[in-house]
Amino acid sequence: MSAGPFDAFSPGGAAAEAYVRFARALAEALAPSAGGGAATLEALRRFGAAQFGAAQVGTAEFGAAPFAFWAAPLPGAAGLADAAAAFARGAGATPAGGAAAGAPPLGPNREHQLKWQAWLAAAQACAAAAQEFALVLGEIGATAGERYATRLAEPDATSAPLRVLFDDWIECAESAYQAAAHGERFCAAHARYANALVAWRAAQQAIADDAARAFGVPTRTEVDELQRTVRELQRELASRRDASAPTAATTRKPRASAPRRRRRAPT
Amino acid sequence: MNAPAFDGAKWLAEATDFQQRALRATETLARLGRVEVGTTPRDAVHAEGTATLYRYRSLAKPAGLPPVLIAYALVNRPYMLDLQPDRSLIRGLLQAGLDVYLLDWGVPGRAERWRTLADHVTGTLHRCVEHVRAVHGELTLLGVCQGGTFALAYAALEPANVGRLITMVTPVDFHTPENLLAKWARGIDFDALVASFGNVPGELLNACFLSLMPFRLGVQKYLALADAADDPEALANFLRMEQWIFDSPDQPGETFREFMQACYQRNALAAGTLELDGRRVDLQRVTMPVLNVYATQDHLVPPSASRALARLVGSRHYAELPLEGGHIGIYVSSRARRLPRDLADWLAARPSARRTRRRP
Repeated sequence: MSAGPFDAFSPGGAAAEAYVRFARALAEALAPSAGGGAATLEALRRFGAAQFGAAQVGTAEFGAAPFAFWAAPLPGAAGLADAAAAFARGAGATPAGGAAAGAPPLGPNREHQLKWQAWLAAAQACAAAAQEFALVLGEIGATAGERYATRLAEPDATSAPLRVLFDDWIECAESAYQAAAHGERFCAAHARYANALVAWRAAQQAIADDAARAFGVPTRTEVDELQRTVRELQRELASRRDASAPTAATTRKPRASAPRRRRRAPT
Repeated sequence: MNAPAFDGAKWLAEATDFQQRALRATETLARLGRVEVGTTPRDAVHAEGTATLYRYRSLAKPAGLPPVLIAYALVNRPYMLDLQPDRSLIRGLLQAGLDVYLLDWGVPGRAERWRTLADHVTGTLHRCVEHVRAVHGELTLLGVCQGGTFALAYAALEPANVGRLITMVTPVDFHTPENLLAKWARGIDFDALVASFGNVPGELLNACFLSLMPFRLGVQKYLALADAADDPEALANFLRMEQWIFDSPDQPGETFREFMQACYQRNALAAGTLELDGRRVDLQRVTMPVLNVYATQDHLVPPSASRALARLVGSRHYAELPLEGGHIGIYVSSRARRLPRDLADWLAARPSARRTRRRP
């Protein structure tokens, strides 16, 4: 898809492109060829669901892209199922070679195999959680589409400027979203997705630590421990300094006003 | 439904016009380059780790009031309070004759991974309070958002050190029905999240904040750029705001974990079960005069989350100041221009804790 005259990497440019695509998608949904009646309503439901469902893989045009960040530090979430399937087939994409999910961990590679199997299980759990969350978003989108259909059925809709219709769509989408986002189902699906991504990330980190260790590079776990020790020492030092420092009451030098403006200020 | 008959040619003309305006806005934005923020003159007077205590240079005749120490949040940078000369809470306070200090937590790196909530509140914040008291004797503590939560906790632990307390858009009760962030947070495994990320990326928080209102914040607000295509000043203001929103420091991992679990999941501040350094944070011990400023359309910290302070605080001199607008708008809206004056008036009218009797 061309970014046209706008910078595809700027939200402003992406929003402008989204606006134009909105006009096109809406025109298609409302075209006489869509059939009118129930068919048009269904077209608008699909229109809404597509905007929300796309959020899952970071291609959303209408603002739901923030959800994709959870997967951002990882390889594309859209490739999850493929990666897991490749590993399960023993396609040679991993050091564990043909170690599929259920193979017993035996031999000198046992520990590595366990870590790869954990990675695979986490990836599969992640794919399932992503699918569940996408379903929830898709349902909200369909609801938004229904609300939008109601709006478009109002008498003034045919004469309304495109921008007004766009803002109406945003209103329908946001209100449908808010109604669902406070609910238990959304919160649970959202949390499962986030937790699954973090678990998968942790499984990857365990493998990365192995690789670092093999090359004599300090692992993240080791650096973490060092930093924790440094922090404890800093805390101890600050505590001793606080104990030996005079308190504000004994050092007070009352001064009512700040110094007047000097030449130039660091900011 | 019956498909309404739309005028395709009219839509096409509108879309074309919009594209042209959006293009002009993009070109103007490119010409503007980097906008300046936080320009009010100041001096660093104390530093530890990534945190710096600044003192602003006076701009008016002293009002004879104790200095104001601003404790900002760890989330985002504090120049929102001094975004531009004509939209600056800090400049407004200086012009009202107040002496202003700002605690800027800085941008934590990996070395801050194990900094705790107590390190921030009873450590750095306490030492900044001591620094200001050593110069002036007493102070007003002004906490903003999460910084307000820190300020409240500090005032409860060290009430004798805080003459007056101002909280701005500060969450206190994290479990009110409107609090969407808290609902989402309840199911998140923060132990695992922090163990995996270490410091929590500012980008992740931004993604969460945007997803609270994804359509308005992700798309609709950028369409407004086209509306301002021929107004460079409006575009510059937009850029300043945009810079602030996405200039998000990573969060020290341990502090984030503690804060999210204690406040967002267990609601410990409101429940009176929050502990720092083994000491219970009891808001009944906040007996100094308190002014609670909240935003009426705040989607990040709902008014109900802030206003819960009224029933929890021990002060006899508790007041609220509602401001029309959202979490950020209260600093930059036209109504915000009166805010420094309102704060100065309240400070002038309220006796400090030293002259305030405890609630019987």
